[in-house]
Parts: sequence; structure tokens; C-alpha cells
Amino acid sequence: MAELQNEAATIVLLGSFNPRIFQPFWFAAQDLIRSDEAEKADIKLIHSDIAMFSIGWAQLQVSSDRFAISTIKDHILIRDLVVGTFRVLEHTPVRALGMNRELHYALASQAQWHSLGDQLAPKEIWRQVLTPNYRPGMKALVIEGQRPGSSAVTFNVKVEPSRQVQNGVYFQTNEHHQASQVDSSEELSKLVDVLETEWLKVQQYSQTLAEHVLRAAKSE
Amino acid sequence: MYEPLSDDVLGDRFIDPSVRPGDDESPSSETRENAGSQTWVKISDIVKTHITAPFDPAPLVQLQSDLHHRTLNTWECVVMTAPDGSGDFDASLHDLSDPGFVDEMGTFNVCAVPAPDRDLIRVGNVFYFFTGSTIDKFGTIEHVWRLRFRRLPRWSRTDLTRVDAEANDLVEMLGEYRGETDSAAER
Repeated sequence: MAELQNEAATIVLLGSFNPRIFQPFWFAAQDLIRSDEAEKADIKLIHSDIAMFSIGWAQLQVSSDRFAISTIKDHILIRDLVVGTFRVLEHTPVRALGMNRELHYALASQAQWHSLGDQLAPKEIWRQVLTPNYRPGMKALVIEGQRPGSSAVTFNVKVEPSRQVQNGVYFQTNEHHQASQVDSSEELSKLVDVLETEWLKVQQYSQTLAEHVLRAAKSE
Repeated sequence: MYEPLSDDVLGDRFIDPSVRPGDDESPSSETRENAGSQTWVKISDIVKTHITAPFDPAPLVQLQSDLHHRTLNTWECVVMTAPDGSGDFDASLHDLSDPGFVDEMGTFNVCAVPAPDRDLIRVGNVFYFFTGSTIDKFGTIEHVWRLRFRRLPRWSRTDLTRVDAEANDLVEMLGEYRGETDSAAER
């Protein structure tokens, strides 16, 4: 049985941002985080080109074209923070929203680990053309599709060997939503609404999908 | 499967391609250790990052720590009563992990609420109640729970305009409905 060992969730917005705004005390002033969290924030860099800091339960990085917030704890909190942030900054030009999840599963044995790689990416074709004494191996697999019932452009899944877990498999999922017009606060509002209503569904679906792949591959 | 050679967002990583999984003394083991201590990427890595929509899933932040957090259940709770003399207050609990469950009621005490959130214990306000566990690097499991109030901004001008429009629609609809009822009453 594959066991979930480690996970993270990230929200990414692509658009045009002013990194200088995104400081812990700005978030506290908007009452989006607690003032004690702002005081204790671990600030890596606040610059006109990039802002990077951590508030314990979330890490935030903002550059001129990308806003990214990640958490390894309670996923719903970063959703609220992003929803709140862009309800305040309602005229920010945003062109895309990505709802992402990362999952590291430990497999029971190295044999299972190889078996999964062989089932996801059969090696027969490769053995015919690659040096026979170097066993070909799967480095990464990217699948693009759609989540049932979603209005997203795509749902992307990346599978790799885990760098964090022994005999581990890493899943990275991304649901990508695109704005139809960039410079429209109405479009930003729509993306924020999507985030608010779909975030938990995407998180749950990502885990269900990963565990389906692990189960299906194991049973073959 | 073998270890990945590089990560397109976090920048170049050297891993000896001759190393196979399971070789404990391998450079890849060392790389994992290094990765374990890395919590932030170098600025130069970020600067050279190119965003390739529509597939742009990778966070810039590599999230790792000695503690692994696992949230087992999350409830969205709404304060139903103000705290009484003993500090108890009632809340409705909606299970976000399984929305199929029927909402429940629970009693909390202000002591369970972090001090900076206590001003928010007001009827109608929303908080989250998390249960889960943390596992340290020695494998010790500690069961934990957390409570945190939801913080959303004050109403923006756009929100007010939108709500105003929705309210007008509602008033019109109710007006039509009342008109129909009145007509029916006359008949």
C-alpha cells in the first residue's frame, strides 16, 4: 500500500504584479493575516523585482509576472489569503490561475517502485535503441487532460521519482484556468471566484487521481 | 525509474546518471540531503525561470521541513452564539473533508482560540477547525488540532456594486412574486 508521506499545495497567478506591495505588514493592515504573524514573518527579500517571505503556514514569492503562495499545512488558508488579497487588489491584471498540489508517496519496495515506472512508461521500445546494458528508466511523465466538471483549460499531472522519499513517487498536479481578457477586473473576479469554489475540489481530486494511478498500476 | 536529472524551475542539479536507485552511498542520496535543507531557491534561479503557460505547475518554493504535517480533517465552522460567562460558544460544523456529512453543532471555549483571533468570536464569523498529525524526522507522530478564524477583506467597491445589483434583482423578483400573489389573492 502506497503511503502519503509529504505534500504541499500552491496557488499561482500569472499577470502583472508590483512585488513591493506584498509585504507582511501590508497583509496585516488589510486584516488578511494576524499582526503577530506579520511581526514574526521570515522575510527573505522585499525588492521592486521580487518579494519572498514566509509566515509560518505559508511561503509567498511574487515577481513582476508571477504570484505564488505555497503551504504544507492547511490548504484552505492559502485559498482565503489569495481570495482576500485579490479582492483588495481588484484591478490587478491577471491572465491565468494555477491550482497545484504536490504529493510524495512511499511504495512498499523498490520492486514496486520499478514496476510502477515500467507500467507508466513501458521500456520495450527504448531498449531497442538505447544501450542494452544501461537499463532505461522513467525520469518524468507528463499527462494533460481535464478534471471532470471543471471549466479549466487543462489538468496536468506530472509523475516523477520522489527526491524526498525512499522508493517514493512524486505527483504534481496543476489545474490551469485562463482569463479571456487580461486587463479586466471582472476577469480577475471570475478567477478569484473559481479559486474560492474549486480549490478544495482540485486538492481532493489530485489526491484521488494519484491514489487511483498507484492502485491501478499495482493491480496490473 | 531513476532520480530526475534536473528540475526545470529550481535550476540545475548535478546527479550522476550512472547511479541507480537503491545505491545508498550515491551522490543522489547526498542530493536528497541537500534538497532537504534547501527551503528557498537562489534569486538567480528565479530570474532565469521562464513561465511556460499553459503548463506552469511548479512552485518556486521547495517546501520541505523536518516536520511532516498531515491534516486529517477540516471543518468550516460558523459561530452561532457569543461566548457565555464561562467562555463557551456554540458553532455549526461543516465537514470540508467530506461535504456529504450532515452539519453538526459543537461547543468551543475561547481558551481554544488563539489570542489574536479572539476579537473575531462574533456570531456569523467563520473559523476553521483542523485535526491532523505531525511526524518528526524520527517518526514520532503527534496528534494536533488547530483553530483559526477566517480573515477576508472589507467589502471592495466592486463587491458593493455586485451585491447592489444582486439585491436589485432580488427586489425585482420578489416584487414580481408579490404581484402574482396579490393577483392570486384578488382572484
